[in-house]
Amino acid sequence: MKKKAVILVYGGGGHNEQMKRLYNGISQNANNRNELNYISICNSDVKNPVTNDVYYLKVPLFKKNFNELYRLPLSVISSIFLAIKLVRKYEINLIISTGPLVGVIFSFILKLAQKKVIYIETWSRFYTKSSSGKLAYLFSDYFYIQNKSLKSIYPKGIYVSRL
Amino acid sequence: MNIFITVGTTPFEELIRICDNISDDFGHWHFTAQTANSKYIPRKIEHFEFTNKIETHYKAADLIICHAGAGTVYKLLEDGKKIIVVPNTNRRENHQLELCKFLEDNNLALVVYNVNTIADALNQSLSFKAAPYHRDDNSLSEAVQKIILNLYSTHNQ
Repeated sequence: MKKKAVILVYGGGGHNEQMKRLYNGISQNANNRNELNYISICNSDVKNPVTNDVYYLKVPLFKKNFNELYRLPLSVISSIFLAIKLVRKYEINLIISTGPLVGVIFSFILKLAQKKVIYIETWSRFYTKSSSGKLAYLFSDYFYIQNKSLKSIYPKGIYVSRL
Repeated sequence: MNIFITVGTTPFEELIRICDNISDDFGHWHFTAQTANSKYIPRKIEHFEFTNKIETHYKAADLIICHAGAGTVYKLLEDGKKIIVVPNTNRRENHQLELCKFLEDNNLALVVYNVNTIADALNQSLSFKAAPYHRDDNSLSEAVQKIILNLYSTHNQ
C-alpha cells in the first residue's frame, strides 16, 4: 500500500516563512503525524525547507520583469514529471501552497489529477491580488486570505487569521 | 544605541549605501547591516551577507531598519521591536507598498518611501511610539488541519 502524503509547495523568503508557520501550527495539534508524510516542493530560492523530504523545481520569479519567460515551459515540464513520480509513489489527496508561481503550476497539475488544492494568498496583500493568487483563485478548492480587506476582491476567499 | 539593518533575501544596495554614508552623522550609534548579495560593500559599518543567527541581531538592536518584506516586518512587530520600514521599489510588484500603507494606517512603524531621507527617520524614531501588535492565534493552521484529517481519514482506496 502506498504511503499517504500531503504536498507543500512554496518559494523562498516570505512564502517559505508562511509555510513554516503553517506547518508548525499543524504539527502542534496533529495526532496522525506518524502515518502521514509531509513533502516539500520548493522553488530553487528556498533556503530553509520546512520538511525533511524536499524536491526542488526551478521556476522564474519575474520580480523585476519577464525576461526569463523562456524558462517557463521547462519549469512546467519538470513539474509534470515530478508530479507523476510523486503520484506513483504516494497516495496524495491534498496540495497546500503559499505561492508564488511554483505553487500555482504544481497545484494545477495535481488538480488535473483530481487532488484537492489549498492556496493561501500571501500575507503582504491588503488591497490588490498577487499574480499567483489571481491564478490560484480560479481552481483551488480552498482559498485562504490573511487580511480581511481582501474579501471584497476575493469573494470566495476564506479569512480565518494571519499565519 | 544599536541599529540593525536587514534586507532579507533580495539585495537593496541603495539602502545599504545610504546607511553607510550617514553613519558618521550618528557617531555614537552602532550600525550593523545584513546586506544579501549586495554589490555595494559598506566601508564604515559592520556588515555581512546572510546569517543563521538573525534573532541574535534582532535582540541586540534598539532600532531596526528593514525592507518591507512581510515576513521580517510581522516577526519584528510580534517581538515588539521599533522599526523603520523602507520599501524596495525596484521590483515589478507593489506588494511592499501595500504593507507600508497598512503599517502607517495602523501606526505600527515609521515608513520611509524616499531612502535619501532615512536620517530624518532615524531622528524621528527617538520620539516615535508604535501601536502594539499581536500575532493572531493558530486558527488558520487549525482550519487546514481539519481539512487534512477529513481528506486522509475518510479516503478509501
